[in-house]
Amino acid sequence: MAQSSPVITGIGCISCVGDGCNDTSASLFRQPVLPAPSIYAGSTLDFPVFELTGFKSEKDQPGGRTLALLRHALDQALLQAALPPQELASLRVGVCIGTTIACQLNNIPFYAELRASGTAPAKPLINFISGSPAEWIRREYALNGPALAVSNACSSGTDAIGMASLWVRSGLCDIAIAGGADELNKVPMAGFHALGVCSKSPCRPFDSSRDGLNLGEGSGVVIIESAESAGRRGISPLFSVAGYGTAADGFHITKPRPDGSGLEQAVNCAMKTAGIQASDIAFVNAHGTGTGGNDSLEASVLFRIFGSSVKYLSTKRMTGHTLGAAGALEFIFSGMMLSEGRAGPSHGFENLPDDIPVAPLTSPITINGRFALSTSLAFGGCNSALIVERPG
Amino acid sequence: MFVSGIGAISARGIGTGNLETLEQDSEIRERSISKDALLSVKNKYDLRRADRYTAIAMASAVQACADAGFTDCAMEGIGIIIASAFGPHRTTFAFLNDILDYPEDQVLPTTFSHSVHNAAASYVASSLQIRGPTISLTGFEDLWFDALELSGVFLNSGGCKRILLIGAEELAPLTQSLPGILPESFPCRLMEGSVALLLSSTPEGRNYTAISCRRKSVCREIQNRHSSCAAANDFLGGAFQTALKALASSNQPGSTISIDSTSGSIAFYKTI
Repeated sequence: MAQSSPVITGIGCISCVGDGCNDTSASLFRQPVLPAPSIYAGSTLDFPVFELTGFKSEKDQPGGRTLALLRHALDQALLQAALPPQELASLRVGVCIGTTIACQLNNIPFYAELRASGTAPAKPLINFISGSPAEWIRREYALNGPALAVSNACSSGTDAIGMASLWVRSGLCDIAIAGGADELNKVPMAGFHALGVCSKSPCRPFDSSRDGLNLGEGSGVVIIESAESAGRRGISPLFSVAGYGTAADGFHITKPRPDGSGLEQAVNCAMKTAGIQASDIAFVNAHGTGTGGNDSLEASVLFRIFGSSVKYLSTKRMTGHTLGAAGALEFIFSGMMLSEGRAGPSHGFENLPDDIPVAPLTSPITINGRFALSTSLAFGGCNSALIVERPG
Repeated sequence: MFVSGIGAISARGIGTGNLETLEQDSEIRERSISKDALLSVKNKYDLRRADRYTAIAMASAVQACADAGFTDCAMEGIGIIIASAFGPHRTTFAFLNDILDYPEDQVLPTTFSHSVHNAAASYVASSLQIRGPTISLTGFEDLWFDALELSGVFLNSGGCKRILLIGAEELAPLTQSLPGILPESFPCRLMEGSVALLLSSTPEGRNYTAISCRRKSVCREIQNRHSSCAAANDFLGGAFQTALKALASSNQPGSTISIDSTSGSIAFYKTI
């Protein structure tokens, strides 16, 4: 492990793969659950989603269900990192959280009243402002470092972990709480449906019959720490953030740049940060949403960088697209797979289409390498990549 | 890091010349940017489909780049960081209008895609052909400082040579109604506008000043900044103050300005 790479000392995660580190790690290699029409999101649309029906959250709380999911994962991560919450205030700790839902006041009843009368009750507004996820954590634990919510659409979670790793690398913080969270609700469901990208069946990333994504909800949180800080505390790293790269397409608000050069730049930047070459990457946990455009472009770029022997997969068939949480969850999954020494398969894939140059993993493989890559592509042309490294 | 170019837009128009008067004037009557000013930006940069928030951010961004002497498409190794408390909430609410007024399966996709926070960064990147990191940040407490500090981290990491840091807010039904709904937290009417700083890892462009970030030890030291309704005390306060400090240093070669945490934010949590 590169000496300067920030290490991960705690993980928290909740998604339709599992709740908690052990549950998730075990379920990663089982058959995924099936998505179903939403019960709780308040939508009349009947396309299938990955909804955490067993996770109950109070209504009318700061940050809503998104913050509740985040807190759930955060508690797990702090526990695993052996960081008592009351001790955080005495350490140099920052918070960086990716989200799409929690940064928008899309409370429909609140807005309906505001629109009708020009005023509205204060409580939803207070909950929105005080529930801004990174700042909520900073206040709750009296932290003295930076607190930023990243809203880079579907790459938010990846960017949050990447930026927090830069904080730790630069010495701005010794420890960073980083990750992503997003809930299912009526707004993204209506929005993604309007974009025509929601499948009516379980998504099939990279498959010839793929016809769209499934939305999901969840949260992933990691405790990022300098190797020196982890050493001082006597904590063994789980894995490390060896590299981070991000690059803009500078092309279109929803369409990716056709030549994929933005993603390629992000991946190359991440590998450069990690000081590794393409041949060092054992496998890629791709964004792989199951939409026609994303999957063909992403697979083409991976083929260009890694060649025909590239080992890659998507976990979207297991979680759905959890938006701001996706990058964080997939980074965690990548680390878990590296730790387990096996990866795959890419659930939902059966047949190779003409526009995908090489098939994703169709069965689990044994992993001997030290590095994995996790990629995210987002609205607005954001492309981001994280390199995970297992302890040597 | 160094301030190489500055751009701004406010109710007083496009440019940095009026920033000082904004800070001094606690009884500004006009707080909205004129439609003509935004239309000129939208027409020049082919932003017909972009929303008002994007045009506000773009106005300061292009000015900061031009101020530094960079023409479009000539900026290598540059990233974008946009910080905003409420982001494009006029468009967010336009999408909610769709949901309220039409069947859920008939809402407009374009409105949805423009309601995401990073739509503005996307337009700035494509208009200026910027291909580096593009980060959109939100928050309410010390957003400008944290974004400024992050800019320095990106520059020092070697990931890019320049960061175009933009602070932007728009007036819309939500921000206009805040003083009525939460009078203790928002005792005055808010303004809209944006400030952009082109920050560089080495001196270049106008080279106004070097800039350093000084984080206070505990965030609980945030002071109540509600004593005045001047522009410097609203959402954009930190951004305006930083720009003013840099402008004031332009005649002092080799100067360094220090920006403190909590310098321009509103401590919402103290009053709600």
